[in-house]
Amino acid sequence: MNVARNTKNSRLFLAALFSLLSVVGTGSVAAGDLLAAPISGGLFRNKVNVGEFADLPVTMNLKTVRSMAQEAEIGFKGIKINIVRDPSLKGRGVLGYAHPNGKQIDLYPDAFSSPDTLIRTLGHERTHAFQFKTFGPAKDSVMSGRFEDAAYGIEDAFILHWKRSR
Amino acid sequence: MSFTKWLHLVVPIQDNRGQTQDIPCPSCGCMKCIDFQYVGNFEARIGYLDIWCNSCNHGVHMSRVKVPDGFEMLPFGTDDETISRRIPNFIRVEPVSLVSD
Repeated sequence: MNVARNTKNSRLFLAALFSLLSVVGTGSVAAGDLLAAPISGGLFRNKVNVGEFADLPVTMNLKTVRSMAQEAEIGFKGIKINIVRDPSLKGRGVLGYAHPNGKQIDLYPDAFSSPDTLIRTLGHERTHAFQFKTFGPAKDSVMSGRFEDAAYGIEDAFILHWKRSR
Repeated sequence: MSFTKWLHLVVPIQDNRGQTQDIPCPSCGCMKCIDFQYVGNFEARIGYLDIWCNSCNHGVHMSRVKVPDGFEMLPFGTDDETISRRIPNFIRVEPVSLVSD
């Protein structure tokens, strides 16, 4: 049973890795074209975090997300990134969410608590988006756990790409 | 059915140190029916969080979360039987997507 599960986990992991490599392989990550949503809000939001988010070290805007995604070679073709500026969730450890249609990723304030956290969250949720498009949303708690195992397992690869690019 | 209301259950769950008896279900209003489970990596204290209602069987799955100190979790790779026994196959409450299907 464990062998069977490990085999399935490996397949999911490799599928996710394939997704990463296929994006990297195109040589046209072009996240700038793919993070389609315009940056809303005032000028300050484009440079530093303000108000309730002032102490978050990574700027909460799409420009920063786009830049860091490019550095980590995480592609977002066809995926909308939505930054959820909800101060009540700050410090609650909620980081990211991939929508079951595989077309949208939500980033919560704590995802911007460090560059490492943002990269890992982007890579993690991008992997889920790939999984949902490929396999469909998780049908039960076991499948959900396997998706999570794979998404967590590939985070280091994105960090590696990011560190090498710097 | 509000995903946001479900998501915000993390606040009373954390503030009450995991006690959920005073938290009403955002979907059906049932008291003493909310349950939750963190699953993750013990060292990094990163994982996922499932919150559900044992009455109406609705809930949310939060994909990547930090596990607060003092909260128990199941480790990644927990066997299927344990996972399915602990976490029911609840009906997922999903957020409204800005992108159409």
